Amino acid sequence: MNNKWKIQLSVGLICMILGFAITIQFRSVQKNNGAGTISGLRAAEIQSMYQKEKEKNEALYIDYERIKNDLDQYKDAINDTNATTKLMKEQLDNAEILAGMKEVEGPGVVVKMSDGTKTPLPGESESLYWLHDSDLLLVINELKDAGAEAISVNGERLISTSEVRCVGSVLSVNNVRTGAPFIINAIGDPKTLESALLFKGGVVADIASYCEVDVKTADKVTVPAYKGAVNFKYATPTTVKK
Amino acid sequence: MLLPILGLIIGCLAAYFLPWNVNPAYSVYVAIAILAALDSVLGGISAIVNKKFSMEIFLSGFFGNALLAAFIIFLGEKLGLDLYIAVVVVFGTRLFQNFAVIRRTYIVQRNKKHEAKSEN
Repeated sequence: MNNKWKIQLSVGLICMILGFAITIQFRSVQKNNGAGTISGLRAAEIQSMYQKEKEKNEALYIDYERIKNDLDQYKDAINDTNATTKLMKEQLDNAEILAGMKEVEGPGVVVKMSDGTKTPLPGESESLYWLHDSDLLLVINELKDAGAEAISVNGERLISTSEVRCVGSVLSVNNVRTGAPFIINAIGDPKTLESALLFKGGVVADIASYCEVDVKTADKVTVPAYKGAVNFKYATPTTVKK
Repeated sequence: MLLPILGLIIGCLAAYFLPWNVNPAYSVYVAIAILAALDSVLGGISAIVNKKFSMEIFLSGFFGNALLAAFIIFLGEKLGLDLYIAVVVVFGTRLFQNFAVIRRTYIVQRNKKHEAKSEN
């Protein structure tokens, strides 16, 4: 009898653990359903997940626009107060232009770059006649050197963290991908900008030997604001000891 | 047979009403606990059927196996090897072996009774 109780008790205990583990695992698997286990999913599921994330992203962008409008309104409210705030407002405006938070317009140049149309010589790679990130970076660097105050590539404002990079056959700027032709808007002194690009043996002359580059000055060039959100994860201002 | 079933129900209910979930990273450990428990229960039943059940062996078997399995999985994670496969294979094999023992013993016993009856 004693032995029978022992059997019942010990098997009962293990059965309890078994039931507990099975139930909790079952519940967790149901709840986590797929999260964190991308490898187990089929491409179609991943695609639908991607779609969902994209929709979320768009919704967040709408939110962002709304909040930005609110902020603009607050700034307008500050507009008509005393001199100190006026000065601060001016500084803020400058900082915002520099940071690319505001759409700006002014005289400047519009550079249109597209892939070359020449057929490659026998033995030459086709990619020799395509535009690459390096070509765009050369032009952008030259524009900056010539005093461009605001630059955008295919409608994406270049800010301090912007990348200009080939991703497969397209170009990624601010993580937004666009294909050729690339239109670079730059605001600055039109003559200086133009001559910085077009001088003999310069950047454009070099690129034009295998691709199409077209530089036009304009009295009014518009450079849009940076569309993404700025949040710094690692960089914090250092405090100055006095 | 009453206490094991009661224990199973209590365990299920307890887990059902407890608020927490298993982190996906640890779900493999819970899975191994399930396998170890299943293995122990089947092993226990086969020992009962063979009339050589011992509580010490039964309980130390469950906890010892579970701990060893958890350690192997932990080691596998640290070494970047899928060592849990070894645990799953061993427990899985033992499950089927124990079940085979139970099945055979039960059928042999039944056949013996049958023969004894027909002889009378």
